Amino acid sequence: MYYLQVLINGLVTGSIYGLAALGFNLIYGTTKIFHVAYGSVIMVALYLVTSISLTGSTAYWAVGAGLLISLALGALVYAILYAPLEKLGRPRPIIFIASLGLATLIEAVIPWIYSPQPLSFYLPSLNTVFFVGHIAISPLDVAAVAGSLVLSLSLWAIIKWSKFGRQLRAITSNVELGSVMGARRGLILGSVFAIGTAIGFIGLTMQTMSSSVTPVIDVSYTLIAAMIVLGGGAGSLVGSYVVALAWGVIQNGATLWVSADWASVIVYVAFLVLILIRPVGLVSSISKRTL
Amino acid sequence: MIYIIQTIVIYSLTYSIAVMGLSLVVGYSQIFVLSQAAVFGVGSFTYAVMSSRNITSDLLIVIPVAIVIGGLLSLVTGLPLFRLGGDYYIVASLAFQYVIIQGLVNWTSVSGGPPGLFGFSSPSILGWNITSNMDFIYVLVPILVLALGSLLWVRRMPYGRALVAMADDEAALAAGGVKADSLRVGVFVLAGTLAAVAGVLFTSFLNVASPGDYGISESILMISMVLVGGSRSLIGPFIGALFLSSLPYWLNLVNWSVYMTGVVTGVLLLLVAFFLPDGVAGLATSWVHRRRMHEQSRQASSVEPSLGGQS
Amino acid sequence: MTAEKALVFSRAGHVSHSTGRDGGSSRLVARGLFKRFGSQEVIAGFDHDLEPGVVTGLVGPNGAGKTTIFNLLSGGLKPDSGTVTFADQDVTGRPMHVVSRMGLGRSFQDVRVFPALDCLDNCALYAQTVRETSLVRTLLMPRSTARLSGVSRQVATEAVEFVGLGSKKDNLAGSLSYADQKLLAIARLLAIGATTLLLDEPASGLDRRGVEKLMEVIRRLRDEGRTILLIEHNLDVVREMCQKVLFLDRGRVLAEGTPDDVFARTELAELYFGA
Repeated sequence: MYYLQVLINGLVTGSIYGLAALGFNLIYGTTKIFHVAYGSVIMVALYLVTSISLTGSTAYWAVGAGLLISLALGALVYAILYAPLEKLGRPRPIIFIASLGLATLIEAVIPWIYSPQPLSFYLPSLNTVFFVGHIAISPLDVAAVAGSLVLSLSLWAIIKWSKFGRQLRAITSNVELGSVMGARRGLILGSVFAIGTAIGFIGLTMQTMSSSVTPVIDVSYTLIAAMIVLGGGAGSLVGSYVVALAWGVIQNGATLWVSADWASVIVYVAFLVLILIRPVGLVSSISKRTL
Repeated sequence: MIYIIQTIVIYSLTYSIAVMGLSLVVGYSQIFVLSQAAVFGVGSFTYAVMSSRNITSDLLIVIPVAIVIGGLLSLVTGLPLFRLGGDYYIVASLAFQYVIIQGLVNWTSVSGGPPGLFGFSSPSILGWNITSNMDFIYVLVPILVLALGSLLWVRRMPYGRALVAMADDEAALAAGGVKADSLRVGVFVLAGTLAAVAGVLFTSFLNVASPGDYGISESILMISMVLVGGSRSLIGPFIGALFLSSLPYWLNLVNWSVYMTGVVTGVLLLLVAFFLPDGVAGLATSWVHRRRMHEQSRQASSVEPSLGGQS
Repeated sequence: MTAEKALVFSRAGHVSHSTGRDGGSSRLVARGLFKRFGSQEVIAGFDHDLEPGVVTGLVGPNGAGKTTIFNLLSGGLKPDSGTVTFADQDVTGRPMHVVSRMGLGRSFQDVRVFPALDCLDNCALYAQTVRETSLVRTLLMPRSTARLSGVSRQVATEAVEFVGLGSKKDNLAGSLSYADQKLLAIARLLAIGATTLLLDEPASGLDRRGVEKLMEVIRRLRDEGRTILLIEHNLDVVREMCQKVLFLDRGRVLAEGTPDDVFARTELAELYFGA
């Protein structure tokens, strides 16, 4: 029972990380832009709406508003940062510098405007624990697991079957010479950034609800997302989902059996080992792409 | 006032040593390393531990020890470069950064935990106690000159020639019998070693070492110094280190928020990406380079080509 | 006399495996090479024993797999099956930097000189030894590194002069004319001490005078007893330079013989020029 509880808690944590990774994966897998400012942009949306409300039924409205704001911010970042840089013909390392600059800027501005104190959404109805046998589960846990599963599956289905997905894949398979050109291409990539940021926002919000965040959360959020995506195999939704769940389980297990201090160190080392053994990630989509 | 200027000079010189090697890594192997602060921190703690345990505070002993520790650590974190590049190494280096510093925090018996170590004896060299700011500057300048000299030497020698070639074409380099991966790891270890030395000097000056000061944001600051200054030239990191390490002091003078440091750094990086891909120093060097190219192609077209060869 | 001249470019301990030019051991032998990319078979059974001291031409229509053969022979690209031996050692799929140090040099179709280095440095880079390229030695043994570096520069100077670029040795390679860059690419191979040279379309894009200069250099290399495998589309060059020609199509050698014999076969001419 005890083990089962650890496992379930791990899956919940992993599902939240899975959402973080899902948004990053969509952006990275499609555009190949290493969006270091990913977590920072999401954090902007989060802090903007925490001024509305942190508790009670208005908090749900705040989360809804945050979703819209993150969509808008994602598209905005593409439109005013990445699209112009691509137009200037800047190579990927330079685009990375820009992204790093944006992250640095946001990370200074947010704690400057808001207090650097930890904050969290407090929603009693989501955090009320119920028991299944001896296992304690909260509605938030269910929402995290179900949410990440549903979002992953629907994103997969959209990419696979919709017209949007087909055009997306045309761009992905050949970033420079994609058959989708011009305004249409900009529109699609803009929506990729918008959707990716919004998915990441859901993940960060859930993290806020289950514990608390401070204005320096963005770097570790991006880093975890990036590690899961590269560890799972860039562009592979299945790979990153599996790695995310494993990540959560290992972290929870290590917290209990080793110590909370060493838990994240252990997971990071596990990532380093994984990526050194399999540099292409768990599920390689790269080989398919090059052929 | 004189005290502030001295402090700024000390900071700039220390950070210049810390990021000098990094500029070679970024400039020639085009790899972004976001773990430089970790090695810098390990250098710091080398001094802090040796000094607080009364082993020695003599820089002539501590610095070689830090070189060995920093070199070995960089070797471990640099070896993945044989397999990983680009974005993968960015993420790997961030993971290393986190693991090293978090490991240091958790290893309380050595590092003193989150508050770190403080209040140890001031550094010395062969019995000469280094106490005043000017003393520190006297120590820093020769070390900086030595470090810069070594880098200039490396750049002039076959190793440096291979670095320049690597930045242009790795396959053609391999056809010449040189393996790019080994070059990359070599420069990386050199960069880490210099950062460790800088860490020793930094902590011996400040008299505190706290793991929190060597986090990811510090690594980002250090690579920003290189990128803003310009990674392809050795003067670049100086410009970057001078400006960005002294920024908090300038802002303090005009009573601006400390957060302005991050704002300015971020804006500078964005400006670099949009307008100055080779950094501030790149402005000058690219101009000189273009001149040389231009003159030579003019020469080339005017000189009558000799047939055959003079064998 | 020719043997003496060739020795100028090698140095003690530098080209340890090659005693090539006196015959025998630095032979390049390919046995049963197969390579496919995805579903496409690019090389379908390439067998050849490169004749030492001879210029062999490798001709064939575009996409016949000529450059792939070069990549398989010079290291880096691993064949799906088959072996490559050079100087009696198995070099199949070994990294390019190892194979080139054994004395098997290759040039690239798109030249690929280092634009930011001058001519002399381009060659000195190829001439430099593993010891000189060690960072530890550079820092800890500056004198000896400087001395070794001087030797490589000497080797490089001779290589640059051999191809007639002596007067431009201090010019950046990026500022050279295309024809000079092509000569520089060959000089680099001499600097590394290559006894066997794989030249990928050295004459492409050159005007008549450039082609003549190039042929002069190749002729002198041949007279020195070096072994050359030449990919070339300019059939006049092939006819004049090569004692032997391999005709490659879709990854197979269709014909082998003297240039006149091979070019006389009408079905090959049709393949080559056809449709």
